[in-house]
Amino acid sequence: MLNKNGLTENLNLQKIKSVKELSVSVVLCVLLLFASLISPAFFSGANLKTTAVGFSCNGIIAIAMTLALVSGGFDLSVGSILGLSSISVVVLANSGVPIGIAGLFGCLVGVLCGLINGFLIGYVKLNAFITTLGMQQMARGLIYVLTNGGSVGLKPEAGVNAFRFIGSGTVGGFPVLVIVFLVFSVLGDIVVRKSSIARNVFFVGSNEKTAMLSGINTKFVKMMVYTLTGTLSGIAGVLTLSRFGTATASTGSGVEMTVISAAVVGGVSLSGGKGTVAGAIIGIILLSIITNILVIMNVSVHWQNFITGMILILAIIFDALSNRKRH
Amino acid sequence: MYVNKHLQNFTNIYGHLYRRKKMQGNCILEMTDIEKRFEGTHALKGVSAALRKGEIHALVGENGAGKSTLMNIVSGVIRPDAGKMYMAGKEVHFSCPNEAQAAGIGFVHQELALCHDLSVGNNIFISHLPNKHGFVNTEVLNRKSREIIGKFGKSGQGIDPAAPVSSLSVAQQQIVEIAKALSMDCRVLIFDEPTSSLNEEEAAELFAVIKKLAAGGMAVFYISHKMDEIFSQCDVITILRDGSLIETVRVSDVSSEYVVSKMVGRELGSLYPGKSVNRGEEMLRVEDLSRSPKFRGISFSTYKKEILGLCGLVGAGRSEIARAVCGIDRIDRGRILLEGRQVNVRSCKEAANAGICYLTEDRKADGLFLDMSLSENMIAPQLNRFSSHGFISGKKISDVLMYYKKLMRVKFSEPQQPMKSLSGGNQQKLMIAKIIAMHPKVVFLDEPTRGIDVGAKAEIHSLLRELSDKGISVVVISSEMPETVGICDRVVIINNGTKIGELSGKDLTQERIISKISAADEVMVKGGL
Repeated sequence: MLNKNGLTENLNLQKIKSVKELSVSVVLCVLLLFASLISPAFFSGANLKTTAVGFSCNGIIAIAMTLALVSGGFDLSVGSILGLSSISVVVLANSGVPIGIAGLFGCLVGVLCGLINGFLIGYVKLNAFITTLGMQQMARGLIYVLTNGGSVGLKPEAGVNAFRFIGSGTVGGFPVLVIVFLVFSVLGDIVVRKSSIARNVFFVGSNEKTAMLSGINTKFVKMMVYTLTGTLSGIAGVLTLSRFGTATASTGSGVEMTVISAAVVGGVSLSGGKGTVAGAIIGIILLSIITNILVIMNVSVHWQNFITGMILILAIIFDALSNRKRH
Repeated sequence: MYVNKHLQNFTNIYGHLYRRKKMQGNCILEMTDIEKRFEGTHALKGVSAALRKGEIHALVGENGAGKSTLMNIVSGVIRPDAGKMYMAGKEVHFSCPNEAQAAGIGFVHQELALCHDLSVGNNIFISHLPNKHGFVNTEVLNRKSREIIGKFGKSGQGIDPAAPVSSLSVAQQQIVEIAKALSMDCRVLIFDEPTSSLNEEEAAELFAVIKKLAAGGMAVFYISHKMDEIFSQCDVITILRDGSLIETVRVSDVSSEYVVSKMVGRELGSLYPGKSVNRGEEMLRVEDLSRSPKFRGISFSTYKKEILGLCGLVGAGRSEIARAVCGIDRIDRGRILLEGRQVNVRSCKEAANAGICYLTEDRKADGLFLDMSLSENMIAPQLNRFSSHGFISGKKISDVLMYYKKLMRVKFSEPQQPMKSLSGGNQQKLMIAKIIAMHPKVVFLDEPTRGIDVGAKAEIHSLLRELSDKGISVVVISSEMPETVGICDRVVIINNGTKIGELSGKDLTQERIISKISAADEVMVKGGL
């Protein structure tokens, strides 16, 4: 009898799970349909391109944020790291460093910030909320120092055009930035879903003590997770710069909230142990399309914030309800 | 099913003959003069023990005797300060769990330590996922998991390697825990109170599995508080007290009284206090209580100066009835009368105000605030009583806490220390004190001695008797049949949500209870259920 129950329960579980992945996609499709009804402008090439380019950098960060959430934590410093990476590249390039090397340095800034976060959270065992909040403030502070609160543009030196091509060029009418994003997401999804290294993150997030007793180096796993969020934020910073050509004091601010919201909307569990990159990416796309629709409908920016927040809460309610069904 | 249980007892008697033979195997794990100090405490004082191939070796001692510390050293979780460890004659040093696992030591933890969101296969191979070019090979993972689960025979049926652990029953999760250890080709398996969350049938299945493993040459360390289990399943007993090795004995050579007296370091009086001499007047009357589908038509009374037991198999509806009477769960119909007056309890707060209190069976999950201080725990259910003008009065709390410290013989040093710093037995006593401090008329105690050692058990038993003598009507739910029979004056037997009888006085024996339950089950079978 026990066995039977066990089996039927499994079936139900799988059903609910697939429904969950499906439901986000269904919502996305309904939205697309709605958008096309509202305005023919939505499905115009130009609008789609702008929207896709708009969420590409956030999408790259969402890949890493998925892992941070799966590990049972999160990273509030991603937006500031993105901004700091952008501004460092500008400052270095303008002082004569070749743009390629400056770009690499921007990524390195991300690695370094992430390593510090990761070391403090993993090895010193500090709380992820406070640590990454502190890092957010520190990085934002540095950005203000470097920009003087204003904005700094890349000087048109040699190589800058080639650099700008990544962020604003197209290949066969397709934005390069979106291609970069797609490559990252497909790789990220496969790695998180299938690789042994990423599976360790799931173990840590699901039950840290067990993971530790099973011989998994939980401290190292955590450090690597935050190093990854830092690194991808650094890369996103370089890409953002290559898209706009300038870095401002507010570059990247608020990105952490967008990315965490998107991941949660996409079914990544805030309590750790569960989530897919695909889900988080769908979440990002969903949120940007909603914003896009609101823009097309001429809804004010303030209402956009309100609606994004409401969707986040709806997503959590949905998550809580489906969890309740399970138990 | 019940015939099987009796058969099992029968074979246990003859089991010793069979086990003698196995004792001659060679030594696989040996520890000599293991020392460990933590800040302030000398946890292990030169303990030595040897484990042989195919042997089931019980490790007993009161809470804090050093069992867990010793096993944590064996499994590489902590390092000893001094002493040596040998495996198959070779000296070994484990600096982390990984190394111990690699050497063939598996640990089945008491609190099922599984990752609930992940699949059975992932959990079994958590530390050595089969992979191809860095990616998890799910096909191999599931195949290998199925092979290992197959070793458990009947008990492992229905465990799908791809299913998430959260979908399994507790007993099945235990199987996964063991499978996890087996996946590493271990030669030594450590069980830390594996039956604490299993019912009797599930425990019997687990023992069958352990026996099978031992017969195949596995050496087993078995930590348990349950003497009957140890005496029916183990070959050798190592007794620890206060971090010292007291004695290692063969099960066949000693009695359980002997082992218990060695554990506590003194002759323990009876585990149970005397029975009630004369019961007082009726306190609580429950009439025709029903809550579909858990139980229906339940009627019983409780009296002053009498300990009543609600007994039956796990899942019969005992806890559910207690929870309903105490206002935690709603009832479909029925009446509850307290001292002759009908009471309507719609919440546990209303019930507590009327004088009916419930003590939860799971102190860790919903009984205590483990991170908060003793005094904070004490006042949680009745903040108002301990406050004046909206502020909490420290003086009142420590007075009350000190009163119960003395009354209940609780061991702690200061009211501000966190609850989790106390041993299980002391936590349990304070949890009972918290209820008693509310001056209830009737208390329902669900598993009042779960997971605590023999000494603390005896103290809680005599405490319950004292409370009952003071005029509080005490109702006990216990899954340990000897405890129910030992402490209760009268029992109400519940089976499948209905009351099937009452026993008291001389009729109150384990045999009578079991035969009542099995008779009721047979009627059900005949009735086509």
